[in-house]
Amino acid sequence: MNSTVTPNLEAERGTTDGSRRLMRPSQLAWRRFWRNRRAAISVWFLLILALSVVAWPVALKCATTAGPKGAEFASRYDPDRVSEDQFVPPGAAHWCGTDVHGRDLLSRILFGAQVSLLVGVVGAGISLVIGVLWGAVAGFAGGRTDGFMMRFVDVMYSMPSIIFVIVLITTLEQIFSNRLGAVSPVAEKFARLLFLLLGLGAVSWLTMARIVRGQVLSLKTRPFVEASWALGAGPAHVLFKHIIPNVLGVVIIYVALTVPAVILYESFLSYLGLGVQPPMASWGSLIAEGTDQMNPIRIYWWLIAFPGLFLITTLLALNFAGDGLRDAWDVRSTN
Amino acid sequence: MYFIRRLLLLLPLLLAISFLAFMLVHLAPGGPFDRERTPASPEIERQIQAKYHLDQPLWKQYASYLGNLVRGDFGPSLKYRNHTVNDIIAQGLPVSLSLGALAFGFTLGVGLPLGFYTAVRRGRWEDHAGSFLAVLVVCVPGFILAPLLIMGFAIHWQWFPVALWASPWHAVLPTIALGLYFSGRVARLFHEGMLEVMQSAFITAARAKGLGETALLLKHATRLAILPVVSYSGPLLADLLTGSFVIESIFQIPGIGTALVNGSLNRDYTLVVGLVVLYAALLVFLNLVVDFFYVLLDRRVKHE
Repeated sequence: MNSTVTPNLEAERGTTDGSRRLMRPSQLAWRRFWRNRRAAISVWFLLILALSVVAWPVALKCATTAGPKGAEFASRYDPDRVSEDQFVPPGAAHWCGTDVHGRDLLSRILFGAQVSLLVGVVGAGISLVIGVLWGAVAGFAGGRTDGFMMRFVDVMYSMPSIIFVIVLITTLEQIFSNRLGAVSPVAEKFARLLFLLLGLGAVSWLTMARIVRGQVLSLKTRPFVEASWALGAGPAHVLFKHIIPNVLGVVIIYVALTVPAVILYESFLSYLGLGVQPPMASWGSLIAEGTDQMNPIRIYWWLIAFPGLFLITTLLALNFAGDGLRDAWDVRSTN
Repeated sequence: MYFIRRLLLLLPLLLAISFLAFMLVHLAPGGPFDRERTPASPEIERQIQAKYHLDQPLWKQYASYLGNLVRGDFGPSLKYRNHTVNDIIAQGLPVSLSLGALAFGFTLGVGLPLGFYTAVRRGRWEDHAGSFLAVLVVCVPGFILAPLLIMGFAIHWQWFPVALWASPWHAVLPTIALGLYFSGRVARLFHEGMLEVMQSAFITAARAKGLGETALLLKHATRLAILPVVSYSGPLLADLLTGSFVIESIFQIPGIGTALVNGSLNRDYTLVVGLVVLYAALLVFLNLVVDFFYVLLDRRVKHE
């Protein structure tokens, strides 16, 4: 992994283009990042994926208004339209084939990507906010507060996380599903997604909190922090102006590696039937549907292979991008 | 001494976990008997509630639950009548544990050689290919691999049985599906560990003294480079045990993973809390064992 990034000293000094200007460390890091071919390709792949995930529903919407031909196109690729063309193998009309209800699989994958990617990003975001605050406060306060907060993290850590999420999601659902159903069916539909996010956020911040606390403990004794104290700054000022900004580098790298982990969790839970509810789909639930259709007589390989392929390549790209970030920013690991 | 103290610390930890799980499960409205087909008369319902002590205040329920737990009694299952949670665990745990142990062996058997080889061949094409493989494998979760394995090796070529847990042949596909994902992680950890150790001074010294490369790698470097893998194997074992939920359900293996998922969907209070406590106890205990081995391997670590 690390060997793909070879720090080029000439480039580091910014002398390759003849000028002798000095670059800021963050500029250097970005430059190292884009030099890493694997990471760069991954980022481009993710951008294209995100673009097509956004563009596809828009294109379908536009097609409905563009005459009878467009309407036919839109209805053929509507991810929720049930039709007679069941289990059509991949071909010119349906690039990834169709499923048990004759729905176009590629279209379903692209719509499912909304859920999978959203859950990944938001879940990592939740872990970022809780983890950074928890770890920073614990490390910063020290003493008994620190001990109490970190013991809590220890207890949560000893609980197998996926089990905790399963219990949490089913509990939340039991509490709220009746009430939300009374409010509106739309709310009920999205409630499941919300519970999923809450459950995933609730377990994914633990490692973040530990990392941040460790960083804060070492930052706390640094001269510039002491200087800030000496100048009469309050604890909030020191924490938010001096300590947290200095932790962010490590945090960003870890967040980048949390996104694929959360996506994987989501597909795991959706696979078990604890994630999004049909007709809403995510990559995990699509794979689960494909597995349900598995039988000894006919093999519908595309139902598993294509959602799986999207999931695997996305996870791969996210991992490469995360590794690239780590290699570019963490100077120690670039030896 | 250190380990005795750790063992004593286990008790409050398990207490906290059982409390958390108990409260979480009981927090939700609706009981385990709400989904019964025919609505029972109020009289019968009250009697069922009384039989399982569901009519008592929560703290009393928890106290009596704990009292039974101390005696090793996980209580009756609320969904599977005439079965206690102990029965379900006694049936499922050996299956889940042997699947986990097999997958653990497979993970190390694939991951360690891959990590070792890529580290030794550092910078060559074998390293690039192997490292790519290690990352790729980490991106293929079991629930994708398992159906593909079934379609290929069980349905198409018919080399292995499709499902169930009856003979050693039945264990092959589930073991691969469960273990392969983690072998990538082990490979990466071991790879990085090897690279780091190979740069340390004592390796240079040993090399300067004329020690052969094979002895150097196998005897001196491996012993330290394996430490990250050792400390990862605690969480790894936990992940293997919980990761087997999906594998168990795909291959219809009667382990405790399936029981837990069904239990929490059916609101089987005692089953869920019992299994959570069991998993947590296993996890904490395994971590302790791992730490013990860590100290054996690395004498520099002293636990005060």
